[in-house]
Amino acid sequence: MKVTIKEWNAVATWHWNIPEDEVCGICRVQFDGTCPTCKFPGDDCALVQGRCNHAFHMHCLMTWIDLESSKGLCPMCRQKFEWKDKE
Amino acid sequence: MSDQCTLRLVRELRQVERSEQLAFTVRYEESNIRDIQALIIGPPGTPYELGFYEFSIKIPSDYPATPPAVRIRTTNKGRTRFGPNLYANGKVCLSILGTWHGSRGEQWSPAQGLESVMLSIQSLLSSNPYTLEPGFDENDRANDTENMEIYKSKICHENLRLAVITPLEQAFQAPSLTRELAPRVGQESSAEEDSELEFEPEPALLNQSKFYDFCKRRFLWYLEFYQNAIERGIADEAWRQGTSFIQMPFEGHGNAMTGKWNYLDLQTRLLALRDQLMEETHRWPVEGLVLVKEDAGIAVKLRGQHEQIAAETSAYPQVLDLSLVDENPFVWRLTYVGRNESKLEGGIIKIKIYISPRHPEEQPRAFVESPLYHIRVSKLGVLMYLPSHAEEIGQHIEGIINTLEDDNPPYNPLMTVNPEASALCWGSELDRRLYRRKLRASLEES
Repeated sequence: MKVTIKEWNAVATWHWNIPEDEVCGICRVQFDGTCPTCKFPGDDCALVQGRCNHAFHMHCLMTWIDLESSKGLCPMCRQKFEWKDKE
Repeated sequence: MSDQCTLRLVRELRQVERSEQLAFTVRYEESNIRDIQALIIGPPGTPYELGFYEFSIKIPSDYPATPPAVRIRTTNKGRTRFGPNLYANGKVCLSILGTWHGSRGEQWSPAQGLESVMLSIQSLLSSNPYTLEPGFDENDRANDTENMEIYKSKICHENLRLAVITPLEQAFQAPSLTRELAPRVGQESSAEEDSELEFEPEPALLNQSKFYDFCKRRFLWYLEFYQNAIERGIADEAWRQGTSFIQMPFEGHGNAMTGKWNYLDLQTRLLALRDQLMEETHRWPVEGLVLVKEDAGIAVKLRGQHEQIAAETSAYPQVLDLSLVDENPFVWRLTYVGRNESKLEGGIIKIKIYISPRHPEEQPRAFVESPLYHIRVSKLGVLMYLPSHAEEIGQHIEGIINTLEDDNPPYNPLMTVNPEASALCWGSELDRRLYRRKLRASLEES
């Protein structure tokens, strides 16, 4: 039997390379969702991971890091928050 | 930013409400969720044991970047400092709230939240509060040991007086929920009213009155514990009766715990409260009958719910009967027979459930009619149970049945309504056998 494909629709799902049920420690929303200020998850609302391995929505973390009271510390472990280079 | 605050706060409040912990509860208006009232139950094993401590929690608009502002409201109208970090003026000194300098690991971060704030406050209600004063944590002064004991002793007394008895007395003085919720001139209801001192009327606050029924329910649970604590105070501290509290070196300048040891007075007031609470409960069916005659909505609704729930439970072999007492939809009687091979095997247990005309603002109260020696039944017959949904009567019935079915519940001091039975049930092998024997004996009587 010969089949001719006339048309096809591709469907894909994606999620961040982080366990699905984990939430951002700042806004408490799943990483695959957005931070409270964004509407669309994905590249527009990226994640950041520190050397301490704690991850956050980038926007959530920036709000915190910009504050003087944060002293540049990770909200979870209070070590200096430094961007993890790889990935 | 305000969005961020609201979204996260809603999430947290939902989580607090869903969590099955018994140690604290929160109230807030839907119209302003950033203004939260919290009630924390003093942790068992501390001088604050089973007291009702009220806090106001104000959430800043840039939360969670900055911490909530927390004030203690159980201060005897600004006159009593309940601990080294719980000031008479309401200030709560806590490093995670930024009101105290702590090491960097103790300061606020957005990873903190309502729950961790509550836990930190609970830790201030400690078993040895004296050592929470900076510089007094080493026990290196000549009279530190003696002071620790005195401090604990006066907190125990004030816990019963200002965090148990006074709030309950206010709950009874407050205008009834039925009449109106708006402030009324001349009728006070502040959590800090001190009946021994001058009477200062304050407008009733809606938020505070929302804790009244909660406190009454817990009071019925913990009554025997309070009675025992007062009796211990009368017996062991007789020599202190009538004497003034001794001041701690760190107390003073209007920020202290002053007063007198008077356990005899506390005993009278506690028993009066018990009677008032029982009277109130027995008044519900009388008020209910009036509503039945008027064909009021709540009466009709309860009758309908009874029909439905009775039909549902009839399929359940352990429930022999669920009927209205004297056809009154405000009093139900549940007849339960113990399941085979359970601790209640063969026993027939009758439970009278009083339903308030103001349900669900006031929750039902369940009493075991026959004598039952059981960890969940107080000497007064109060049955301690947890409904999964306080609004629905069906959930209350289910909660009652679950309590009776639960043969091996884990120990939880906040669920202890019968201290003696609990000590036996979770005691040595010999104690446990004695508990089972006493339980059986009470079942045979029923």
